[in-house]
Amino acid sequence: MAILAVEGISKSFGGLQVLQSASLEVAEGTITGLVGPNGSGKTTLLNTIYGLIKPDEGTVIFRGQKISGLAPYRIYDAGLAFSFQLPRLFFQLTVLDNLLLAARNQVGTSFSGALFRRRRWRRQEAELARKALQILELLGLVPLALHATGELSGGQRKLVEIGRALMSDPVMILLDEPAAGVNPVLGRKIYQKLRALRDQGLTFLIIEHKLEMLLDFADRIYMMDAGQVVLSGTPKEVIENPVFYATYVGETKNVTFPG
Amino acid sequence: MDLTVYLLDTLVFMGIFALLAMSLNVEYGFTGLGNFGKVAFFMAGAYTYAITAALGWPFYLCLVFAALVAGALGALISLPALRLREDYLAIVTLTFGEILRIIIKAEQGLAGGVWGITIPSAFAGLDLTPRMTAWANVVLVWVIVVGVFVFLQLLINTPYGRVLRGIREDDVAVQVLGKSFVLYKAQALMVGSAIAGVAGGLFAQYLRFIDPYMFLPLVTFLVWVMLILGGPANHWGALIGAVIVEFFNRGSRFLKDYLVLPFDPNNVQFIIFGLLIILLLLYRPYGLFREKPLRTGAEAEVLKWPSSP
Amino acid sequence: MIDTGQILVNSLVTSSLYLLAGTGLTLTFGLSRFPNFAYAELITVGAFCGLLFLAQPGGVFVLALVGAFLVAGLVSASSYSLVFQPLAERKTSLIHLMVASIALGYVLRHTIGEIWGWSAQAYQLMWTVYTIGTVRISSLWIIMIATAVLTAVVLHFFLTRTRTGKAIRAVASNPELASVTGINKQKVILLTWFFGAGLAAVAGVFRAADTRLFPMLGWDILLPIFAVTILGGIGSFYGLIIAALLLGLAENFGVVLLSSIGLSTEYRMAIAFLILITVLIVRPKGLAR
Repeated sequence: MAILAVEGISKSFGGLQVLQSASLEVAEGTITGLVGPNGSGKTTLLNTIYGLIKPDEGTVIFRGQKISGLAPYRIYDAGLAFSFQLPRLFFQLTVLDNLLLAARNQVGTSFSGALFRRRRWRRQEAELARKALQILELLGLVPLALHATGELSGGQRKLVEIGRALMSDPVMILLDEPAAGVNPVLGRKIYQKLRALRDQGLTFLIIEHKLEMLLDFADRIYMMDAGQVVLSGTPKEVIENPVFYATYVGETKNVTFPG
Repeated sequence: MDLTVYLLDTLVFMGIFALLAMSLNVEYGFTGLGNFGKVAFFMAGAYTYAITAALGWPFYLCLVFAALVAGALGALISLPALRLREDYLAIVTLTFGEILRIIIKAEQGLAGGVWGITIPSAFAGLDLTPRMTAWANVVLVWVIVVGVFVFLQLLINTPYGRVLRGIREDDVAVQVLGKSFVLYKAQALMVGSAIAGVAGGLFAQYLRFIDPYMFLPLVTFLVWVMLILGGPANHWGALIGAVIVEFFNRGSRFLKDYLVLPFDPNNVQFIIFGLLIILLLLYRPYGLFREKPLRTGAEAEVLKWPSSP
Repeated sequence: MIDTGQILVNSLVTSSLYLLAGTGLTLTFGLSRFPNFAYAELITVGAFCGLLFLAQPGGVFVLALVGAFLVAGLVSASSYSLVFQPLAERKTSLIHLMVASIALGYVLRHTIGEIWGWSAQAYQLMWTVYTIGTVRISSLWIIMIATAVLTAVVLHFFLTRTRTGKAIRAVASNPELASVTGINKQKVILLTWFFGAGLAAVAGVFRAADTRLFPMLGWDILLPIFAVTILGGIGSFYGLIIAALLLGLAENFGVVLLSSIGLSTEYRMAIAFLILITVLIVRPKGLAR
């Protein structure tokens, strides 16, 4: 049963057709990879799913509910989370605050709640802080919890970006290159954690250039080229398909092949 | 001139401008909204006070109504403005101030037009000496300043304040994390405008006469100088920035009135303020007081965490 | 009785003023990505330079125009090098850039106020008034309209035929386009800040010659100039021409309409504001894009 169904999404900017009737399905409880050469439309597709870009055509169905056309904060309400390729953190806020901002159903985020339900939200803050610290523990960021994210290195920022997505208790997460910019050992650790979360029932759609990660961790892969989804299957099936290599001719610089 | 009355007068102005600086702090310091028409909401509050006071309302009701009207105008301007880019918001708020002044000037019947309007003192019935009236005004203004200060500290050190700061840093990321920034921005503009409205009401009540020429864009600029000097996103910064700037602003008027100088101290003051702002933005954009980290109780949990250093 | 011919002439004069004053604003807004609020004061600087040059022995109007152009151009270019470029290099936020430009405006305006005082003055110039049918037009107005037309033609050729001009147009009207290869972007920007302010100063001299001059002269017409900049589409010179014509017509016919329905002609400025707000709601990109 597909938890997310993307049907015939098209999008053009000016005269440039970036997505051409792109369709894919993500099964519940899987890690699904999205690969393709640079400029094939992967990031645009992910942004479109999350309502950051309005598609010209096509629909996105998440858990039976049409989410295309909704604003990102409504899509968040539906149980989907999103992590940017280039971290868009709140750079003057601490790592902890960055995570806490992502938490769901906070009493104290409304004007009246903040003023009139102080005891409720203060208790909730303590609970959410412990939850955030668990996530930071996993990402190895506890020592930096009270540092402003502007002080962090690129790799650490990427981890905070992923941490924020985890913080919202989503049903499914869209990740744009989660291991980009972090060292390979940590990158694998991130994927191991994602796999553990998948085993608990979470679903992932991940853009990834590092094919060895997908071979090891993904259940299924879609490949995009020139705005279309051209291949799908298990990681092994896709990589062994001749179309795969044909598409990547001249693109080897951007892809690390396994082995 | 009675020096004590002069000092008390300066204290009243410091308090009124402290309110304006704190109101801009909510909008710009915390939420990142560049309101370049602060004077419009100040003016709306002053004229609302003047008109309701003329109807014989008690002063506290006039102040509340001034806050409501200015807050409603803030909500109104937020409708087109909040979906706009920062530069468009700046242009819209700035020109809104000009338009409001034009309306007051043109509509003679509303509040005296260019001739201005007189306002009864809040302490008229008490039969006070000028010095006691001045004291009463200082107390009235500074009680409200302290009240607003405490209110804003309570409002800002909350998860709500965290969302505002998040919007300042990156409003798209806030949307992705499940909060609609339009609502928060509108609320920030409303709260900021309402506080500016109270400041306007106090201004009208204190001066007991207002005309449109008191509400030039200069007022907005002064408030920005206060906030950038004091330190955006820090209420102490806003308060102290207002005190410093108003000390010089009232001082330059004093010099102009009582000394013969080869230059106009008011001109020199604004040249210095302008240069000061440029230098601050270049070399010390966070002002005198830096932003303090948020305190909601969550930070205390980090110290209790076993693996924390 | 509405004299349509006269209103059309008046509109053309207004449009010429807005076109000259708005050219620099729209191009620098497009190139440097922020609205320079000190443009108001560059117009005023022009007006007072005109006063200064006219007071010199042998001071003729042309000299006033050229002198104002050069002085305001230098003020603008040096403000870019000393203030705005360093701020941009520090990755200053858009709001800070705008605040800095407002601060610069106060420095300029109060410097003028200190030198010349705050009361209104006038150029000691006489203009011939011609009457064609019922339409009255002064020689100053003819010069204004001619200057605006000439500027439009020269700029058209500059923007379409020269490499620098094409680069300015490309960068100014395409926010996505960060740089154009093969041109020195900083030099192009500096040049635009110089010439744009020069034209604004020319507008200031015309405004002063047509009415009076005082330190708020530029600020008082900043709102309509922003309105034409945004209506035309930021960075678009051709959009600006159309927008200036439209606002000139709207203001002059609007004033007639206002007085006929019993409203104050003070609301002339409100027409520009209404157009500005409408454009921002309906079509924030402006006409040209």
